[in-house]
Amino acid sequence: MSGRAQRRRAWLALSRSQMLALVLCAGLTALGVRAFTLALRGGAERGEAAASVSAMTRADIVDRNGLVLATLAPTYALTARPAEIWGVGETAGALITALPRLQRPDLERRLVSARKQVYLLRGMTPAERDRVFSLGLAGISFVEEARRFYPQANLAAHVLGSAGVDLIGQSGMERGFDASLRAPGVDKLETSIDLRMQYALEVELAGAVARAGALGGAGVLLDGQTGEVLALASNPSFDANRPPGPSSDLRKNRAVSERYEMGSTMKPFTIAMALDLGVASPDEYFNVVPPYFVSGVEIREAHPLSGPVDLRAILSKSSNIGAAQLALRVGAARQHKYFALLGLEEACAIELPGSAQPNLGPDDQALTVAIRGYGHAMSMSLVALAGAYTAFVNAGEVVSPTLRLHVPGDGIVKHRAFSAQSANIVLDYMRSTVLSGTGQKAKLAHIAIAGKTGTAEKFEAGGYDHARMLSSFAAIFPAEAPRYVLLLALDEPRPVDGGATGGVVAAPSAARVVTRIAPFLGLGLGGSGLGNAGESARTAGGVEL
Amino acid sequence: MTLAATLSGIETRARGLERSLITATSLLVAIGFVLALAASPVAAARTSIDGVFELAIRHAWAVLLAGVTLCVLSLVSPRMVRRVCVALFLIGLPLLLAVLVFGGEIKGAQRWIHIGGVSLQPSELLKPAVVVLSAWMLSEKTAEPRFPGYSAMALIALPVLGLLFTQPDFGQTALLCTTLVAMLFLAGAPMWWMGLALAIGTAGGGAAYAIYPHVRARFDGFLDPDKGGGQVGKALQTISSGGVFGRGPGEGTLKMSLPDAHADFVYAVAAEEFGLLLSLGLPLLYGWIAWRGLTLTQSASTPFAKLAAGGLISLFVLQAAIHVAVNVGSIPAKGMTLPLVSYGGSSMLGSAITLGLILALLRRETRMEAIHG
Repeated sequence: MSGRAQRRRAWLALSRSQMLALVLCAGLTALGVRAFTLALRGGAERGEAAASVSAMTRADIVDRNGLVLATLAPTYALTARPAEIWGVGETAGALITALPRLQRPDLERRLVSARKQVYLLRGMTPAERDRVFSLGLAGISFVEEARRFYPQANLAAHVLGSAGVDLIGQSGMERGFDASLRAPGVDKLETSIDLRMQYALEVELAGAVARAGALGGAGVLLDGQTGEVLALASNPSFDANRPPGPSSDLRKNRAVSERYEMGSTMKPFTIAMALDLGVASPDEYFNVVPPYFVSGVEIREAHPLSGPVDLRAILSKSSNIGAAQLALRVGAARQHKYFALLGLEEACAIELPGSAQPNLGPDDQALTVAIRGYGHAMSMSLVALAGAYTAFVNAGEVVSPTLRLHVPGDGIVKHRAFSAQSANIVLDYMRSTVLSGTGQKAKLAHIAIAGKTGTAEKFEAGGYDHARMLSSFAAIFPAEAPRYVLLLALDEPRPVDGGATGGVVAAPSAARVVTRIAPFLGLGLGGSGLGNAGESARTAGGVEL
Repeated sequence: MTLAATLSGIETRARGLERSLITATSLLVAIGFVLALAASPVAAARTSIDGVFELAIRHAWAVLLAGVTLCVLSLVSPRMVRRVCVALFLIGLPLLLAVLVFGGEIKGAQRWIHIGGVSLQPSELLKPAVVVLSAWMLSEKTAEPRFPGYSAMALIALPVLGLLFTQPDFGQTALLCTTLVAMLFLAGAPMWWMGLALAIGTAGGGAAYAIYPHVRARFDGFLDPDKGGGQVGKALQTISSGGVFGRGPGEGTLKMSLPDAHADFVYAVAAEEFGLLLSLGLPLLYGWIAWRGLTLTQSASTPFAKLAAGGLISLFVLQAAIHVAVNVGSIPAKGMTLPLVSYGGSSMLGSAITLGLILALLRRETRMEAIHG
């Protein structure tokens, strides 16, 4: 090979090593640039990483006045690395001194676990963490965890529900509004609940349940014009921060997820149907003297009336025979049509999980239709019934109950169930019910309440049980300019002076609730002449005076 | 030869060592040790190692062994370089074969062999040997064009590549292939060979994807690192969470969830804890070794020294580049260590051998010797 060719080869090879060096350096430079870009987007990535590690976020739930119902609070989990524990007995003793709720046998068992890291306790407060921290124990450490905290504890526990350790809504509004609560950038969810009214309702409900020795009770307070749920209570209640087990009876939301045969609180609808269809008139008189049979079965009366009565009396004196006659005139098909318009043919669309499906009875035979006329042979949730009552607030138009805060100016979906005339006539009859009928214990001097009592014998296997009842009172106030619907029901009250009927056990409590919340609704204090409102009303007035 | 003469010879050789490469090497080892200290407690907690600094202590032993190896090798003559590599090849190839038969399986591949309580990854020792022997064969062809250099090189490389592929260790296979292609390039092979190599590489990758589930999983994870939440996704988070200045030594948190933080993802850990200082500093050091080393090969005028040094530098820097590229999510995940920095005795020893041989081949007096000889 010639020297020239060799030189040429050498030159080529030399330039190739430089080229290789360039390629390698270019590659490394590109990687450096990539690392640089990654480092610069560090802020955003850090945020994401943080979110995935601990800072699970969830919007607060606030009431209509901005008071916090549910929020996130930092809590700490107590963890241990058994391998680093010096003395198990000593460590356990010190921990129990600082945190008495720890159980010694369980604690010691965990401290000798073969696992690398064990959880000893979750949900410690910062103060509890500090107490343990100051013990300076080896092998003990803390993991920060965001936890749902309900500052109002027992108040509105059912409607709030719960979000688990992973901060995913499990029940109540926490589940119903889960998507909104988890949406990025949302820091609070404004609900229709008014904490003051929630408190009044819960206190009075608890009092009524206690006085009547009932299994429990429930209450719903609606702004009938907007459908907003101002208060929704179920008794017995629990501390939302320590929810009972999923199968516990305490968790039962009697206002939403249970369905009841409502009894006479359904009668206003039967009368409104009859008026609306023109199959009965206010001038007409009905023979409601027992006995009265439908398909060979006697329709029973709690308080038999004598002589012919008009529609007003059928409602205010709560005549089953009258309601049955009217229901038969309405007929099965039209009865169903009205129930559908009233939202009683399907589960109430409130934003809570487990809203109960109604049960509209076994068949559409004449007897069933007649019985439905006074609220039996069909069952529904209390909140659904409260929604139906908005027909009497809005001159025949129905609004569906909602827990979302209504922003002024936003449209409200209403649909007509009855003519304004029919609805207003029935509202007037309901006022008579309070003034002179079965609901007199709901009479207040300063606020005109219209209402209807209900005392439904519970249907158990085989038939109706005369001793076990659902006693309720549905109120609309103020009667002269109707706006609010309050429905209160007691589950199996025991007879107290005068009985266990809705008029005796539920109506007075409903009136007390109205008295308590009236000032917040701009309906006045009622300082003089408290009617039947009772002790708590006087106290409320007295404080202000 | 008297002792004095020997010492004097050693001194001459030591004086001839390329200082800038020694500095870069020392820096890399120091960085690796600091990172091992930081990663150690986490790794100890994650695996069943006892003792918080056990990992760092093991790393220190590996560094010591590597340091001695590097120092000794950097002083040998080019002729000795070949002998050492023949020896490594003759020891390493049977060991690699033995791995297939007796080796332990780690994360879906058999790569390790256990001898007297020490785990050894023979491929780490074989790589520099294959490179040097290939350089030898290619350089023979430069001197005597009728020598079947390419065939001889293939004879040496193919068994190793075949065994690596069978393990299967596609990372090492790809690394060695790329290095050999780079050497062919340095040796003046026709350019269309490079194009062919690229095509074959692509086809080989496709075949691996089609045949091996763990390759497929990693490639799919690469395509969608964030969604898959795989190793690369976590590495990216780790790097990003370090930002510009880093979280500080030992302050990395995501490395707790990052697999092999101390080995295959040490770059990510470095970037998280030290920020740009190391995420740019490390590529800079390897880049310097590439640039300075390859420039020096130009003055090594025996074709063997030039090709062997060039090949070893390519091997060393390509491995670093692949490691970084995996860490920043630029190529699919491969179990590749960062030479001299990552935790791992075999890798450390292999890197030390590679760099020791580079230093030996690029010694000033070797270059002169070559010129004079």
